[in-house]
Amino acid sequence: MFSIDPDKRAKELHSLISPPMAQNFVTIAVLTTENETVIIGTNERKLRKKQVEALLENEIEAQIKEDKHAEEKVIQKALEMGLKGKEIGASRPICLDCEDLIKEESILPKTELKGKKSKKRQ
Amino acid sequence: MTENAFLHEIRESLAPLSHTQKLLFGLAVAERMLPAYRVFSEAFDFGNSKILEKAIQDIKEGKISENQSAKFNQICPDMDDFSSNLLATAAIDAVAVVYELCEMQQDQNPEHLDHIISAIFNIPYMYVDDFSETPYSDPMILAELTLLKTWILKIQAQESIEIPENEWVKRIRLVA
Repeated sequence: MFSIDPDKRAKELHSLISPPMAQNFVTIAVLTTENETVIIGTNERKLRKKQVEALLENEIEAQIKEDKHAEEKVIQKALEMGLKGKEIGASRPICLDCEDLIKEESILPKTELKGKKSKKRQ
Repeated sequence: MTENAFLHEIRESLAPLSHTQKLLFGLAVAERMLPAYRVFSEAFDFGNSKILEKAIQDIKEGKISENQSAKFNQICPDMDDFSSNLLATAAIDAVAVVYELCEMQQDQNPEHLDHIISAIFNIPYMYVDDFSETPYSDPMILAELTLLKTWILKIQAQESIEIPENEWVKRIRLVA
C-alpha cells in the first residue's frame, strides 16, 4: 500500500530543478487518488528530465501543454482518467483559483494556501 | 544516449580545464542562451535583457559582481503567469545560467558548471521530447553536444570560440 505526503513529494521533485534559481519560478503539484495512482504536474511545458527519471512506479505525469497551473493540470488529468483526487500538495503556496478548484473537487489541500490570485489572473 | 551519459561526457571533457577556462565555457553557454531570453522579452514585453548582457560583460572583464540575485529575480518570468510556455522556461534558464556564472566567479565551486550544463540541454530536450522517443539521439541535441565539445577543445587550445546562431530558439518560438 502506497502512502505519500503530496506536499513533501512535490517539494522533493521541485528540488531536482536545475539550475536551482529556476526553482523560484516553477511549481510542481502532486495529487493522490483513490486508486493509489499519483499524478504529478508542473506549470512548465513538461517535467524536466531529472524529474521524469525520479518518478516512482505509481506516479504518472499530467502531460497537459495548456495555459494551466500545475494544480489544475493534475486535477484535469485525474478527471480525464476517471479518478477521484484525494489529497494535493504543491511546491509553492496554492493560489486562489486553484484553491477554488480543489474545493470544488472535494480534494484535501496539504500545502499552504496563498489566499490570492496569481499575478496574471488578478 | 541517455541524459546521464550525455552530461557525463561533457563533465569529463571539462574536468582538466582551469577555473578561468571553465568560466569561459560557462560564458559561452550564457551567450548561447541569451537569444532565448531576448526573444521571450520582446514577445511578451517583459524583463530586461540588458541586465544579463551587463552581467556577462562584467564577468568577461573579471569584475566581481556583487550579489545580483534580487535583480535577476525581477527579470525572471514566473511560470504561473506563462504556464506551459517553452520560451518562458528558456528565459528562466537563461537568467539562471548567468546567475550561476556570477556565483562561480566568486566561489569557484565547480557545481555551478553542472547546473549550467543541464540548463543548456533542458529546452532542446523539452522541445524534441514531444516527437522523439529517443531525444538524446536527435540531431538537434547531438549538434549541441558537438558544439560544446568544440568549445572545450578550443578553450584548451586557447583559441577564440564562436557562438553560432541558435537554431533551437527559432524552433521553440514557433511552438511557444
